[in-house]
Amino acid sequence: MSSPKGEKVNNANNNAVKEVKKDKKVSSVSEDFNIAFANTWKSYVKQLNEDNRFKLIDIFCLFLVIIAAVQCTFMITIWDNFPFNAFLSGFIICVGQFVLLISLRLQLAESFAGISKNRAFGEFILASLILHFICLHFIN
Amino acid sequence: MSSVATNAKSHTNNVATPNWLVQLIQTILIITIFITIFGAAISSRLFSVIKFESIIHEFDPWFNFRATKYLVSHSFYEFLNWFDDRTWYPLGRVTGGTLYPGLMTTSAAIWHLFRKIGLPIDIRNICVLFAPGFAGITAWATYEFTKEIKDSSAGLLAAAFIAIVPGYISRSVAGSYDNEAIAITLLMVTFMLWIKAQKTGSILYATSAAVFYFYMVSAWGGYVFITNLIPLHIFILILMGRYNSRLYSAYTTWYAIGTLASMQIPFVGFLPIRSNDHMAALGVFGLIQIVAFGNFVKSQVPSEKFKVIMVVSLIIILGLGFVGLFGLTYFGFIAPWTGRFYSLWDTNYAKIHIPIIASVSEHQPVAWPAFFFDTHFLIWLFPVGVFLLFMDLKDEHVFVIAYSVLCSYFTGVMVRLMLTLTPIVCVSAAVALSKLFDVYLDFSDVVRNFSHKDEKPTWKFTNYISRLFVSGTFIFYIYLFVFHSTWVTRFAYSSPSVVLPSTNKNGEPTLIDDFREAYYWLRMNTDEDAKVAAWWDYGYQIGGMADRTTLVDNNTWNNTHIAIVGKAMASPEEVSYPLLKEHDVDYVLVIFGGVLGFSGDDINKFLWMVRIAEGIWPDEVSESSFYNENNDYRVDGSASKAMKESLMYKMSFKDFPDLFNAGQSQDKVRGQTVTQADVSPLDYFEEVFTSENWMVRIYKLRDEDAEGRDLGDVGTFERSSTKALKRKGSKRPDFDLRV
Amino acid sequence: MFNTFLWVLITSLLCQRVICDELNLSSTWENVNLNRIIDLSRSYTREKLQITVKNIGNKPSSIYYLAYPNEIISKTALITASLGDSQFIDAALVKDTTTLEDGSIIGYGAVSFPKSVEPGEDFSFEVSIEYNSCGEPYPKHIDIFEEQHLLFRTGRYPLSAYFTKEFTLKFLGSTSYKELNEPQDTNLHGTAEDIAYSYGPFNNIDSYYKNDVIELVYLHNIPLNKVVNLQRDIWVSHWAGSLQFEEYYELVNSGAKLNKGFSRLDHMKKQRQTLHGHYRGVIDTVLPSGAFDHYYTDLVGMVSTYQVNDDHFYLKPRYPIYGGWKYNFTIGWTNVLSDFLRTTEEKDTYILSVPILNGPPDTTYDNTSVSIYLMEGTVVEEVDVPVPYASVQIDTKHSYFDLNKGHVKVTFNFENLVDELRSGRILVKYRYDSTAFYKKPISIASYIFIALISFFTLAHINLNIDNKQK
Repeated sequence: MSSPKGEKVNNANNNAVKEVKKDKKVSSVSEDFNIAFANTWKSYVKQLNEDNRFKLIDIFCLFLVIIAAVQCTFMITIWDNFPFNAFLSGFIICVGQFVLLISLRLQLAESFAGISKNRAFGEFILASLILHFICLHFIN
Repeated sequence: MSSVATNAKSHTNNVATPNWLVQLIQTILIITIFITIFGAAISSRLFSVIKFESIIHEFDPWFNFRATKYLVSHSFYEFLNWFDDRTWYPLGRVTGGTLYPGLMTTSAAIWHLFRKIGLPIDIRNICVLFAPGFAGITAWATYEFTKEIKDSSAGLLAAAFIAIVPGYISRSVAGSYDNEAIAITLLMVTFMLWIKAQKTGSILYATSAAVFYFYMVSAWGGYVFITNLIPLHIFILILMGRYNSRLYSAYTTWYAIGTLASMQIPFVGFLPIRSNDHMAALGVFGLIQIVAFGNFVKSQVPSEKFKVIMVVSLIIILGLGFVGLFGLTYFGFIAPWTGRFYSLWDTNYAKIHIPIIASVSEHQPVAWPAFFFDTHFLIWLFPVGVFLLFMDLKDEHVFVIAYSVLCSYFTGVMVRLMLTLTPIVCVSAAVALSKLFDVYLDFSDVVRNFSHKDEKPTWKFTNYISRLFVSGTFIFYIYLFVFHSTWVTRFAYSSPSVVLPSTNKNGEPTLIDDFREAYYWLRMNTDEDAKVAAWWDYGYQIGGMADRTTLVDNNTWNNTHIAIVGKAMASPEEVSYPLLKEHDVDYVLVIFGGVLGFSGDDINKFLWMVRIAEGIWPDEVSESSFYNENNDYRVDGSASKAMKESLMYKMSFKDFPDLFNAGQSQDKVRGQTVTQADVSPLDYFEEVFTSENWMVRIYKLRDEDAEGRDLGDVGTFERSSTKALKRKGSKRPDFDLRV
Repeated sequence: MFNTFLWVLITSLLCQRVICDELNLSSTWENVNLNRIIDLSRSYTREKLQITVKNIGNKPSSIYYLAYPNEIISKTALITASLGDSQFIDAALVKDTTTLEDGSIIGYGAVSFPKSVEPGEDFSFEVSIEYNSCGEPYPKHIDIFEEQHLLFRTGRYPLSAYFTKEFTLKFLGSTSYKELNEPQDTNLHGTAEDIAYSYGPFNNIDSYYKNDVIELVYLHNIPLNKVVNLQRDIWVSHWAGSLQFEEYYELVNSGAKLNKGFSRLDHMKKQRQTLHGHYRGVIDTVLPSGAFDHYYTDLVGMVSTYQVNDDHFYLKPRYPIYGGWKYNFTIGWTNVLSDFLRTTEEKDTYILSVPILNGPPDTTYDNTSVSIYLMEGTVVEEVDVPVPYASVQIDTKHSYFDLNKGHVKVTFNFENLVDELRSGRILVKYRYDSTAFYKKPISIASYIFIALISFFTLAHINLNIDNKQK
């Protein structure tokens, strides 16, 4: 099993940040990281406050990450991945929905040329429907 | 041809001031050009039907055809669970789970659709005309693809090229009902949608690309090419620092939906998360998440600080990724690369490790002239196009370049992959040519000169001459290309290889139909459950045409089983007989070209049988014993003992020397004279059928002797008792040989 | 010999007469003279009976019953009777049977005289009967170079429901005859002359005489064509003015099988020695004159080895058909409709007349199914068939561009036909008015129109959604 990279972006990166900090012990680097982290967080909070839709999307994302993690934990605890397709579709739908949400979020934040925000939302709905349909089929 | 010429015109219109009339004319022109391209694409592929008949070609298509017939007569569910006990006897084959169902499903859907609208077309005709129909769609997809790369005039050129380029026609003539027929279409559609998705970042396009990717997965094993090319594209773009959120939304959407969907195909199953072939895509998926996050961070912090952060984190993450990948492979969670994959890198790999892969002619490295043969003048325009794209180097151009470089290499390794190279050759060549025409075919200032007479005319005469000369030359090349394509299609790629063209003694064209003669005899006059042992090349054809159970076929999934047939052919008959009896074989079929001069016969393939058998039973079969003292592979008097005693030799040459006057019995393929003394009689097998030109010979395993004697002893006994009786009727038969 | 009268006569089978099992037939007639001539030259048997009868009863009678073993009755293709000068009289098979003491079952054919025969009077007539069986290969397995012989079994004496005064038996159609297990009595031996082999005359034989079987082996070195199944489709098109035929044959050579496997070398030597043999190398099919667009295929595709020579369609099978070998194939051709279609006085009513068979000569057909496909919207008014059929049905079948009910299909099933019935014609009277004639193109056009319209509508709907989202 490969690690569910989609959900763990934040964690992974933060861990990496910490490791770097410990290893190198270069104060400027750690400073950089601190500033970066603070700045990012600030603008993120700002973005959230600007538009409620972002809040909604992020909560949904968090929810998906949690579900994926729960499924993973469950599989590891019982140490059996049968039926594998059911687990896989459950897991992948989380990942898939997550990336779709992020894509939507990116477009809502700054719409791409030629695609209006509403259209992006429509496309998002369509893609999600397809994703869910395939998952249902896969789950049997 | 006309399409190409008019194309230039439409381009000129692009340059002129657009108004509605010009637009209308342009639309009409484009539609006309497309109709012409469709016509050219389809009609050029019909040569085989006109020259021969509406028949399924070669080997694999016969299986696809048989599977399609099964699908049409059964439900889709039954089809997916199809266990075929008529092949690989006695193992059977889980056909439903080991095929790519895209092709069959599509043709069955077309068949049902046509029935609904009152056209109950025979399924065979649908299958035969399937490839030409889809070639038309490929042309359209190539147009759209190239349009994204350059503009619509290049697109039209590319569409015209792909429609008639021999490299693609070779796998898509009418009757060539193979996975590739639909796969190239899907490949181009997927790439086209991918380019659009990548350009716009639209989730919709990415989803469509994923859906077509799924379709592609369902149709051809070559989907792995897409699986790796798209991530590679993204990876290169990231390395070039060209990341943007459009890429994120396009790639992640494509990957998430595409991967999930591809796992729906039973044959693919969990490969996308288990096999190394698919890991690159997963890696890039992870990477792009990180990059996306990094990008978000980057927008918030000063760039020089960010650089340090990025480099450090990237190194760590990549390191972790690789360690993880190797770890998982090591512990067996992820399947290592398959043999076919290795053979892509090392041409000798297959020869050493997997003789069965090497024995297939289309897995051989390509001969260099084949490039020219298959693509004509496009092959030297191809690097030009790639170079021009390098000059421009937009995001989508990177894709074309990556595609070109990768595929050029692979094609050099395996002939078969010429097919995947061809589209990109067409696209690049079209880009190059249309750039050229943009410059040299632009006579708009002439028109301007005429319309503005008050201005001082600027006649640059030599300029026009050079323009005319250059464009004239290239138009002439295009003409040559069309000519070449037609010629190649007609003479090289339209043969069904089931039927061979020839002329009779009056010089009139006739067909050599020995394969079908023998297969039909089998179908009509043997028991329905009879088991036929033949070399695996003919397995699909026997299944499709003779409708009899085979031991091995072209789906070479079980090397041991193939080796059994190889061993039976390579051993003396007293060894083969019990071996074949053990597998309930009733008939043995061999292909013999010695009478006619058909070089693709079993004696010429015999060494592969020996090698494959040797791989399993090195003590009992050895390749070296089939060479004579001079280390030659001979069939005449100087053939080695093992050769003369082998079942294959006896079956092929039985009665052969008697066919000619003494001393004239020359094997036309090998040019060696086989005499009666060389061919010892068969005791365990009985000739039950030989086709008109001796190409197919069918032998039956004799029943065991009623008195319990060994069949060999019986034969020896009978020969000794009838020795006194001289042959009567020693007249030579009137043999109407066809050349 | 067979003119059109014949067909009318045979239909009399449909109004079958009933004879009572217990009826004492032998008290009605006496065979004054009975000559039985059996023609063995074909793959089926043709018998000719020359009969002179005398009414020995006490009342006038006009019906004469022919007795035959039931195996033959059940294989009979054709039975006709005439007065010698080709004036045909009614003859037909009847359903009743008699079981003899030894358990054999006897079936009957009936001949109806044009006028009653008074007691004590004589009457002479001829009966022809053809049935789908002939001798069986003897020996059953032979070599490629050997000649094929058949073994024919029949009674030495007549099998009749009546007393027979004088009887002769004669075989025709072979150049060499030999009786197996000949009796001691030389009077009972046959005599050969040219292509004939005759027995008798024998005198005063009782009705249902316990018979002594002749086992006659004769040379018959040609293949025995037998079509197990024939599916014959005839498509009528008023639009194209054409009549398309397609026939699917399941042919088998029921002659002697090869004793060894098939050796191509021997076959080639054999071909060199003689043109003919006990294998079928070429199938000569006779088509209606004016046929065009011939094709010849089988289950694995087109067969290129055929020749068209006027009305003859010579088919070379993929392989020589030796004894016991089967070969299934399909042939087809097209004729101009006007050669087969007549209009009647009634408006929009037509009579179609098509041959029952077109196959190769010297062939028997076990099961034949003839389907006539009439245009969509046709009303079948009447059918007429010259030979008895097993069943007939009318249903519909969807073909190209049949958007409504489909083609009207009239199917006749026959058993035991022989190639000589080729001249027989099936008549179908049907009504096909001009509304039906124009309905088809109009419905096709309207469907295309609907499809286009719906396509445009769909395109518009899509746009709307997009607009809303923007």
